[in-house]
Amino acid sequence: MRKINAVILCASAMSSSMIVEALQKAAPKKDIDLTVSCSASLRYRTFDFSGLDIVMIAPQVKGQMKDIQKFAAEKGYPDLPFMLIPMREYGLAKGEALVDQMLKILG
Amino acid sequence: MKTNKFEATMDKFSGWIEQYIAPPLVKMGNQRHFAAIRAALIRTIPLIIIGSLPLILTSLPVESLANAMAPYAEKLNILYAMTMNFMTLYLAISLGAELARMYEEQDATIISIVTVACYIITVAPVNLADNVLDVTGFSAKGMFTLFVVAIIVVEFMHFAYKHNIIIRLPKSVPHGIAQSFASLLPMALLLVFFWLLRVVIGFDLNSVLNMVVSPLLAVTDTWYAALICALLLQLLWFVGIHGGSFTVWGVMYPFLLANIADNAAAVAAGTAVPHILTEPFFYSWTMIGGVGMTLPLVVLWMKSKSPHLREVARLSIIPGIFCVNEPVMFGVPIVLNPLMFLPFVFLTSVLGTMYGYILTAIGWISPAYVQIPWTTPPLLQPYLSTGGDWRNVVAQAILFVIMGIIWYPFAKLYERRCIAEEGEE
Repeated sequence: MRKINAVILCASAMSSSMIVEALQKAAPKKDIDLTVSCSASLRYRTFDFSGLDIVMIAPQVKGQMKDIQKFAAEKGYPDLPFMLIPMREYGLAKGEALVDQMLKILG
Repeated sequence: MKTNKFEATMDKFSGWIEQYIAPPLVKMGNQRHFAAIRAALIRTIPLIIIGSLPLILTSLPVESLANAMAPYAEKLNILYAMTMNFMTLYLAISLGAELARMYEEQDATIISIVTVACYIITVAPVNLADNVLDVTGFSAKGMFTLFVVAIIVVEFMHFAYKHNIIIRLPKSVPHGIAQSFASLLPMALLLVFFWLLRVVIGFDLNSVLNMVVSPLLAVTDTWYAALICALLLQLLWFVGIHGGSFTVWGVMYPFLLANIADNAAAVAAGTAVPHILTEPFFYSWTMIGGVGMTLPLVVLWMKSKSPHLREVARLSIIPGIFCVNEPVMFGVPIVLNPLMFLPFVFLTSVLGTMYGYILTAIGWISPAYVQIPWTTPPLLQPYLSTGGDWRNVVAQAILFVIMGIIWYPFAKLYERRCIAEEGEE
């Protein structure tokens, strides 16, 4: 089983908690051992990026993605992949589609 | 998807918002001092929520109950005073830490301590003759002073570090210990600066700032402030940007907190409640079930003939009750959906905001004085935040029905389109 460690950022870690649940349900079906949590994007300066494989950004905070990416690079993670979650998959909590997309980015 | 002329115009318009309105607001919202203030405020909210609970108990809406509570009022009010009226003191701790995170080399705890010390010297220099502090500045009345003091503190500490105005110890000294010495010199300079300013020169930054801010406070409590807020909120959300971060939660938040603290103080003192606009105001009248009053819309689609809309509605109803509506916004989607532009931007939240403002202004319903979690469900939200005014509950129920009626034709129109598309597939 492939291990993946991910985090989802949205405005106040409310709606992203639904996506966390959807991903946790979908991952085992794709033979993935997924550890995923959610956080408020506002407090990105307090994040610890170590051990993360991918950062997922909720569509409504896409305006912060660049800043967060820059911050991760400053902290020594310039190659950390970022994934902007598409609106529809986010709204409908499409866990499997998101896992597929995640795998595509991680290769 | 079929598009007509109306929809093409809408597309153009939303493109325009995305290109010209959103970027400067997003940039401002992401500005690091701004973001730190917002994050710090949000972290002190639980204390403010707890702090307004004793007020509910001392001003119960039923007279016999209120009389029964009267003997305990004074003691309960201490609990209120030590939380709500000291909010800026606690905010100083959280703001110091949040600002410290901007700079790698700064220790959050040390910046918090220096911020609190400089802030207390500025708003409440001790009266040694009687050994007392004047605690007025610890309430929301010292909030804007704190912002200035805290930013000066963190920026100076960073400046001092960059320009070697610190005491350096050999590398073998553990980081934490070295830090406590390193910051001694800039810390001393900061304390002496604020001491000089307040105690020696006698410059009262707090009253000067309150004078500067008071017209702003007045403006942030007007119907046009509410209208602009609601409009920006809707426009930003329409293009899929979390509008609350830049309006209600962003720029307005300190003012909304100052307003509700003022309202609470008025209730504690038994005088008329002065302000209309507070955070619970927006959650009661602008966002029933989230921005754009999507809860009535979700209810309309619960039994939709379109499997897609039915799925979205069922997924959205529970989060919607707690004012989280991303599933509707992105799932339907409402975001960038030309058909939804008119009701979403102009006919729902904006109307509701004006409805709430006018009813409060003419005294048919009460202004909020209790800070409650923004995820509090509808009906409970207006009830609890006004200390139990049933008129607010009725007014919100009526608004819910009005919103359902406004959403209805658009809900049906979009449903027909969805069914047609699903049939084609």
